[in-house]
Amino acid sequence: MRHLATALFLAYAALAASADPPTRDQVREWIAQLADDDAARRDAAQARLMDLDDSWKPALREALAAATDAEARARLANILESLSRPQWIADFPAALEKARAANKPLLVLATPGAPDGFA
Amino acid sequence: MRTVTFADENLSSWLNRTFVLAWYDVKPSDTPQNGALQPAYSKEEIAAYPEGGGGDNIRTVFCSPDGTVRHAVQGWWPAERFREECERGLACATAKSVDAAKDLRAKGAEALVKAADALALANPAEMRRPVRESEIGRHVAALRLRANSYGRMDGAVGQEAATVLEGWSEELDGREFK
Repeated sequence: MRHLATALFLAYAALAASADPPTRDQVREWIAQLADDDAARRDAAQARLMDLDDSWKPALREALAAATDAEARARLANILESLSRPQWIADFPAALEKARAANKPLLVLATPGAPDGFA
Repeated sequence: MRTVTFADENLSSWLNRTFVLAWYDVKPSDTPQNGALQPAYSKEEIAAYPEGGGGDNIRTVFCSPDGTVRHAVQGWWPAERFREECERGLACATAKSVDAAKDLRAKGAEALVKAADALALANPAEMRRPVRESEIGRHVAALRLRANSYGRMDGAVGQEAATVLEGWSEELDGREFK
């Protein structure tokens, strides 16, 4: 019973941590990592930034204007474009889980085809 | 909708903030790896596409956080109309019960019919013209189509979204898309 309680506490703590919005310092660090020598680190940073909500767009635009590294610029442009479009989740169970966890309403667009191919 | 409705940045930003957005491909077996199933349309074709067009090829479903369908519409809508439906969808999804959502839908459908009737009554000359030649005629038709689509989607409200979506996939199985 004690082990179960510990496991549940750790799971809850992990969930709470992942649900905390990022800080400015974290976002600044991820932006800096877009120019990192390690490709995996660049990809991970981009994934984190693409998960931001669009209140971060002004900061990202500023970063794009100031960026000198060509790859960082391309990645920032990509991130900004992505944040300007609806952020569809193609995996319905994952979307439902996200809605439940965030207590947020769910909008489902049901149509033949995938988002990128939809004219 | 990608090139017109969802190209509206304000709408897209609002959607991202307000909802968790899910895209459900109702015919995944027919979708090639590059994702394209539908042909690209010219600007002229897009501009001429009628509001509400597409029928049950495009269905938008609004659910409470637990995945219960609370509102649904079908067809293509430009950004302004789609935003109106999403506002209604949000109200239904956050209503205190499925019955409260049904009540909101019924009132919404009634308001659409009233708006259509009022517009038609105020423009008798336009209503005598062929719909394709009259912007007002098209708007009246679109309002009525929206109201009708509520009725066609009534059966989904109160159901689990997963069940409804699977049902639609089965329904479309075997149907060819141009």
